[in-house]
Amino acid sequence: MSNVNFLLALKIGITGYLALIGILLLFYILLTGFVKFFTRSDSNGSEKGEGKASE
Amino acid sequence: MQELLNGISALSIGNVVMIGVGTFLIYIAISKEYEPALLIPIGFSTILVNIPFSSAIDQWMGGVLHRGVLSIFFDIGIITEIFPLLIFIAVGAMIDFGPLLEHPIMFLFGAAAQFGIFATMVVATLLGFDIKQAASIGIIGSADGPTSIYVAGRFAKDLLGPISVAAYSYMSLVPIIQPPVIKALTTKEERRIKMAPKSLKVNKTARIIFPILVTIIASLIAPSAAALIGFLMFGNLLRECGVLNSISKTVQTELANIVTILLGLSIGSTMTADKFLQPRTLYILLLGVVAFVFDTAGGVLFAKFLNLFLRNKINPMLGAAGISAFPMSARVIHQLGRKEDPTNYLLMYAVGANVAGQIGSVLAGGILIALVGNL
Repeated sequence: MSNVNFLLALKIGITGYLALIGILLLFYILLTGFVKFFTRSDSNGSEKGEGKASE
Repeated sequence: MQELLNGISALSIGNVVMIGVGTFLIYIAISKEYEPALLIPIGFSTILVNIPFSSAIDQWMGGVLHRGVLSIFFDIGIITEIFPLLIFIAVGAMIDFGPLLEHPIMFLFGAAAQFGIFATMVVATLLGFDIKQAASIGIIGSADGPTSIYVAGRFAKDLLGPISVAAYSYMSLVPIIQPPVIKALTTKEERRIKMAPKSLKVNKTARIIFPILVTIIASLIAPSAAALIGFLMFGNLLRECGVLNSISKTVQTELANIVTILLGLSIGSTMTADKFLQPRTLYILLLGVVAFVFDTAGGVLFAKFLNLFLRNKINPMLGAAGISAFPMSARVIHQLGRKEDPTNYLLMYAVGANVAGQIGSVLAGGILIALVGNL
């Protein structure tokens, strides 16, 4: 019984850890694009804001 | 007269030992400041439930069930999973994800440093625990109290007491557990690797969209983590939206304090002598350390692995900050870096990895529930 539990835990452990790394790798890829997009749109926004203030 | 002495005459050695355990928890919470907000209520509740015929917990008297307030707290807060989820709203409101948004690569360490959860689960089965108990013990490695309680509450309610005590105690012991493991796995040169400061500043829109986006994506991929990640990110949205500052402050203080007290009292109600004084409690406490050691090793080794492919090397100590013990772990890594080179400033990277660990630990809990829940 203990042996069965061990093998099952090993299978779940490997699957779970790899799944977690996969999900957070996906987050990393998405977040990198997300941050790039928003930093660029922020500088545009700032320019607009400055324009308004000068008007 | 005999009725008045019932409690004293029924006091067993187990009760006395548990009253000692409760007192010890209160002692270390006050004198060492180990998670006092949790350990004081747990300790006090432990004393209360180990008084024979205590009206604080359910008692059968003359074939009639007399409900105790601590048992009621347990039923409405832990069985229903409400308390840990409410704590998640508070935690989310306390976390600034800015450092992670500025250093997205730290996301990877938030996953790598959850290695202890899965490795400890495997080791626990070797000690005779069944798969659900093993998963509940492994989750101590999430270094995240509410996640540990959430998973253990679902899979192994009997083990909730020792698991919670281990999770919260070892989070306080991160400055003692992590440094020797990090030093054993890294060279002096590696620990001296400098991380260039980033001038990138993430705007408010991104900070508002981030919790919504993470909730949607994480819940779609791992629906079993939807409640956990959703409540965490809801708390963060309250913080970042900018129009609910008063509510955000209340959530971070009053709500967190009230629920923490109720959570602690509820967990303490499970620490009766018959459930706690067993060899398995010692195993759980031991496996808790194993989980934190594996977490640290997993994060550091993953960073070293990444360095094989990167031109600009990452300081591998940052991998260890991927555990969720926030902000303790980030501080430990920063201080270790400064010890090796006083001009090295790792704090913002370490905080980024640390808050990624918060997301990683919650997702790991959801993954375990999905993989083990149907067995």
